[in-house]
Amino acid sequence: MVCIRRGIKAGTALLHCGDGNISPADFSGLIEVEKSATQTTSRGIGNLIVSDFHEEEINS
Amino acid sequence: MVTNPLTKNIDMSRPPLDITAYEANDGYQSVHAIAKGLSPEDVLELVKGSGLKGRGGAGFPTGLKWSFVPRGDNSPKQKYLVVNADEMEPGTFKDRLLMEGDPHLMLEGMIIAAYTIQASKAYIFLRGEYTVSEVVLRNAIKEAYEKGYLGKDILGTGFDFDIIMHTSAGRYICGEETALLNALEGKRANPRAKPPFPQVSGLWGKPTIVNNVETLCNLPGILTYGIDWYQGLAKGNDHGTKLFGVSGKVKTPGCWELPLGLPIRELLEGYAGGMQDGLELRGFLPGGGSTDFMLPEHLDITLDYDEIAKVGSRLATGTMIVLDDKTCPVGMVGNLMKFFAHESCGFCTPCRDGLPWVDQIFRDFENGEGSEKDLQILHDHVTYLGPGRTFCALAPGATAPLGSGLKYFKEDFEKHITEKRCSYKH
Amino acid sequence: MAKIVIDGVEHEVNPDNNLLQECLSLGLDLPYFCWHPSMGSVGACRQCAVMQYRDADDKEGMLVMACMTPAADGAIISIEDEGAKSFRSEVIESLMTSHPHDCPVCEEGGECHLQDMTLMSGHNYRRYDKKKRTHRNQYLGPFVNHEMNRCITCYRCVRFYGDYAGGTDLSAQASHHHVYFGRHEEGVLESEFSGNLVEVCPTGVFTDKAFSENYSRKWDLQTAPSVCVGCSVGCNTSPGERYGSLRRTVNRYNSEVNGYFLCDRGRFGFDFVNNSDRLLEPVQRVDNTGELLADDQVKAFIKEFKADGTIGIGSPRASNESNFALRAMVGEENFYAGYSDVEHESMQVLLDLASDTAFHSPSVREIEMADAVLILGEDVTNVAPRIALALRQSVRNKAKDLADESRIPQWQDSAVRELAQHDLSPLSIISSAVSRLDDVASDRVIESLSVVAAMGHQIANKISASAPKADCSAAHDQVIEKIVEQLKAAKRPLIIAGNSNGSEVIRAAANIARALYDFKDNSAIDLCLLVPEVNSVGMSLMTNAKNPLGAALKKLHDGTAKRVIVLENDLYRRASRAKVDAALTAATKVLVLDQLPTSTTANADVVLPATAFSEHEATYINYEGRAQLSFQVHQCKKQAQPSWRWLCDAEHVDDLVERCCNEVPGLARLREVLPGENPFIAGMKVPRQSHRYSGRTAMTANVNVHEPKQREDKESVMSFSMEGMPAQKDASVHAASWAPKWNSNQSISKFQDEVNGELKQGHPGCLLIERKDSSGSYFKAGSDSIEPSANQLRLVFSYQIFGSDELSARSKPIQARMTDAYIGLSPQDAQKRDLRQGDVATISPLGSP
Repeated sequence: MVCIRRGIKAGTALLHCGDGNISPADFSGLIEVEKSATQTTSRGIGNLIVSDFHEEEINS
Repeated sequence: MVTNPLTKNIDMSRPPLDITAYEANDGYQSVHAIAKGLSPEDVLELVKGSGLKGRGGAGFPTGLKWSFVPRGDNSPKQKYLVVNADEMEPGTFKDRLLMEGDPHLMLEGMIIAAYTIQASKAYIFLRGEYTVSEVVLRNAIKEAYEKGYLGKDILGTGFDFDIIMHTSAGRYICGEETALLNALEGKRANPRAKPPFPQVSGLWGKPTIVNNVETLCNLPGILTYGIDWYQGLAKGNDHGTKLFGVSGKVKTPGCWELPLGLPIRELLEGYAGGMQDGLELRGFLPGGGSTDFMLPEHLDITLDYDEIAKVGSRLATGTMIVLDDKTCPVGMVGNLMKFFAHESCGFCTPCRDGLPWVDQIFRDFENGEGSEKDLQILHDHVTYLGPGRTFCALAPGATAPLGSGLKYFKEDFEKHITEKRCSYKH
Repeated sequence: MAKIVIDGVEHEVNPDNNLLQECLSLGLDLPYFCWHPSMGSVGACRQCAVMQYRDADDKEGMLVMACMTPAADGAIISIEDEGAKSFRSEVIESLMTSHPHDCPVCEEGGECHLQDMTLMSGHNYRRYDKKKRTHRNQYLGPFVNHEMNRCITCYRCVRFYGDYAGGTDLSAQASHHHVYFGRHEEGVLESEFSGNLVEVCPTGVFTDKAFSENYSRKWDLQTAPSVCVGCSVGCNTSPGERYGSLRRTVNRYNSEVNGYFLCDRGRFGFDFVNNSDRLLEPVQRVDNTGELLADDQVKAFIKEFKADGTIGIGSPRASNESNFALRAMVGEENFYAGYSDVEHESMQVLLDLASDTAFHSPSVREIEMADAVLILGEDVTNVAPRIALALRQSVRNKAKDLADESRIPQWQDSAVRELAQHDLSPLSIISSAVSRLDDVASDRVIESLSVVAAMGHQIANKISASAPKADCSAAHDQVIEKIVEQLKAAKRPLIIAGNSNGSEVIRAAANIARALYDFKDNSAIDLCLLVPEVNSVGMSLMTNAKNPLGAALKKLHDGTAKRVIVLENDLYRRASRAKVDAALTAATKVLVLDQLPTSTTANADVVLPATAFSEHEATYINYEGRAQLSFQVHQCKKQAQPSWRWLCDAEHVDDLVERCCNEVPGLARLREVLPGENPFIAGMKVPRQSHRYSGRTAMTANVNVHEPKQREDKESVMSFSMEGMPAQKDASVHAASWAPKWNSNQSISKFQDEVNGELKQGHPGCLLIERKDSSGSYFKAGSDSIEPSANQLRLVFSYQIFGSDELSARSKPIQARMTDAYIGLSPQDAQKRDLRQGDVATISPLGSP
């Protein structure tokens, strides 16, 4: 899931692996990120408590 | 010779004097005297020498209070003067008269006080309900800035002074000086423990003096006319003049400036015109809602802090609430207890949980459900809520009318119990 | 020292403390509510009133609040004075006016400080017959219940939550007897330390919600002194069990580590022990189904694995004993690290630094004493939460200095805070993302990883020119100068880093500390290096530097090793899927011991059930190098055994501890954590159950009416019964705190030398690491060759207090707070990829992991 935060420098990606199928050992250094075809989630990121959660402007 | 320094400019049938008219009547002379060469220490000596006591209710010597503010290079640079204009003591309306009637007098007093303690900033903590005072004061402050009495380098003294007006959102406890400071800082209006005193750690942790409006209004006279003049105003132990007020069922309730030391009778039967026709004096609270009842037999006692203390009460604010013989004393005390219970900030246990119990008992008495058991509980609370047992003086203040009411109007309480009703109700 | 007289008896006291602190330290029973040893005095409740006399002639005295009165030399006070006693009783009467008659159904009952103080006051008759004030309760999340009718308005909750822990979403509202403590609106309490409310609240307003699901009275719980296994701090806990399931965890006081508080991960993250999918029987995988194994079959397997060609993979979440047993079985040269290779590399750096006398690894208590802190790269709140709480206290050292100058006593908490306002000791954070400590940080720099490390090196170089420089843009020159000055001027500077993103940052941090060491003329500098798991340090001390996990997997893949024993570890979290798959497929036999099913147990040939932390006695070594002993709380289920018991013949944990001491260089003093020889009275054991424990025979009566045989604990000095003598003298065997008249956690003051001090004859663990010399040199500033090009992003791992730790993430309350795996992006990067908040993305690794 994507979490857009104001307090991250461009060029950096923060990865939280959670208890899902992602293993931190599968990654190191550089990654590429792209939108997924399927958009199903289970828990979501609603429980995340961060002060720099980017509030997006709602474009009508 | 001026005998009414506090009210000489006041005429409530017209707006207060503007700064030009104020200056024409010896106004701001003290600031010019300072500019001519009075140091803060000089002013402090004058105020100490005058014997001026605080007019907010506690009666603490003002010069002594100021002397605790740390001085010199090692003390924090920023110091504050705070004006306690949160006049909420039941029965008190003297500060309102001063602010609505002659705002420049208070401002002049503020300049003197701030100069002495070297406070470059002052906050006026004004009771929010005093909407007229707010308008009038803001206008006066504007005029004072324009004339150079406020702002940078006042009259070339090198002293900078700014005044900020703050209107309170309204709670009685904000009249307690440390709760006032907390409220000003945007916190809950709980009082603070002392020590440390505001002179050491006050507004935002800086040395602060909190003075009452009337206290400040005494200062211009002292600096303009001198200590001898000031001490000549009154006869007894306490110096200067004071505003005295009377409310209740008297012929002419009001507020008058009188020298300290006059007999109470002169105030009640003279200036206030005595009881209304058909009513007798039953008792009175000499200094507002937090003072002990006094009785008709005390009328010849003088309006003097010590003399009144001798009979177990306090002069406090000097505004009297009069009880007549057709008004139920239980109801009067109950009304006060309801006020205090509601105004408790809720910090300490005895006040927070004790006053509401007392209030509920009075309501039961009103409804004819008073009992001996409850009467005993009222007595217990007088001791329980005494000084030192609570965090601040609100609850001990509440026990003043409660304790003295239980003592002097015992039969009325008993009658409520035995008759299961208030016999004063029509 | 000062001398005061209490009820006619002279005592020596510390004049810096207040009277309440001294009375409690002397063991006297003086009631209180609002004072807390970690939060000082405010004088709100008025419960601790004592009579103070001016001099010997003063017969009347004056009531003063002991918590607000200094223990000044010459003070004469009386606790037993009738006036003081009746006032204290009246205070309780006031508190009781609106207090509901909830005791029988209130969860606090049995460990309720209000109950204790009520009894102590003598008030026992309700005169109040008017209406009680009531409140509505709020939903505050899955951890904490809210029952406001019980509130006695002591203000402890908001003082802890806001003042102490920095939380912003719990406040005091309204006035007089309507004062309400709650959130501005219903919702999950945000602070990571919200669970402490249940222990800080003296009544049942805030109680443990997870515990409510399966509640039991305190006296009915079986407890033992334990250590939290959620992170590398190793807070001491007292888990409580009943009917075979672990019910709740409370704080166990340790003066050096956790003090009075835990984090929410530790408090609510134990429930995995009760999971229905616990591995409880030895199983052999045959054609994708599991076949139960009998004892002799298991023995046969173990024998097979003892042959040559077997390697063992240890675990940073398993105990020293289990790791050691595996190592002894396969041989040191065949024992491999159980964490990722990246972590292995950083651990070697850490172990080197650990022997250097230039540095000192500070305890949590020592961290609170730091007067200038630099955090390089690590998100302390999520990696080692308890340390974040300590850092919030360390920044108040400036306030304490100011208070001293103005002669305001340290314990007069509100006055100290008022004087200092926002003046804090410096805390600088240089990392890649905003953190929850930012609100107390004096400087905050957010940068990519490589720049974070480079800035670290720059700081080191500016402190001591002997430290190497690094390429760093001038944009940060000002803040670097500022941090350098702050660290140099500090009396006790502290550098914090961790290994969640490799070792370069650790090298930079070490350089800074070494530079300070040079600058300050050779006094050891506090260098706190964080590692993720409860026994990362322990396992690393047993592992050969040449044995990273990658080498083990390679050996299995190419056939050099035929069999592998995996100890309590999910290898798929440690190495790439491809490599682990290849290794496990290639191996002829795979034996895995664990508590819960994982991807690794799914690929094992034989799975042996291991006991969870509360089901065996164990030692762990925390980030400091402090070894701590955790006792068994309850019996393990079915056939689960401590891993070491499957792997070796030792009878007792003590035997293995002894062997560790003898055979592992870094663990030479491990035996010191074991309780002393004969501190116990008349040879009686220390009971795990209170003397009020009930239902012993009724518990199993539905299975068998016969009274079950008393389970024996042959392992330790504790017993699985009520019989024995609670340890009065040896606090290391002291779990749930209780003293006569003090049923709540406040009873801990009876076991301390002085309040907030050390436990009388307590074992706060044993610092194992001996520093030998300071011959270490500065690390070269690494040049980070990984720079992202156009579409690429540099990865930084983000830990979360809820979810990143493997075992606690399988506890239900923790799961209620977890998020999905997520990728955090800057707004620009998100926009480039047409990603919106909450979208699902795919991430692809580049380069070989």
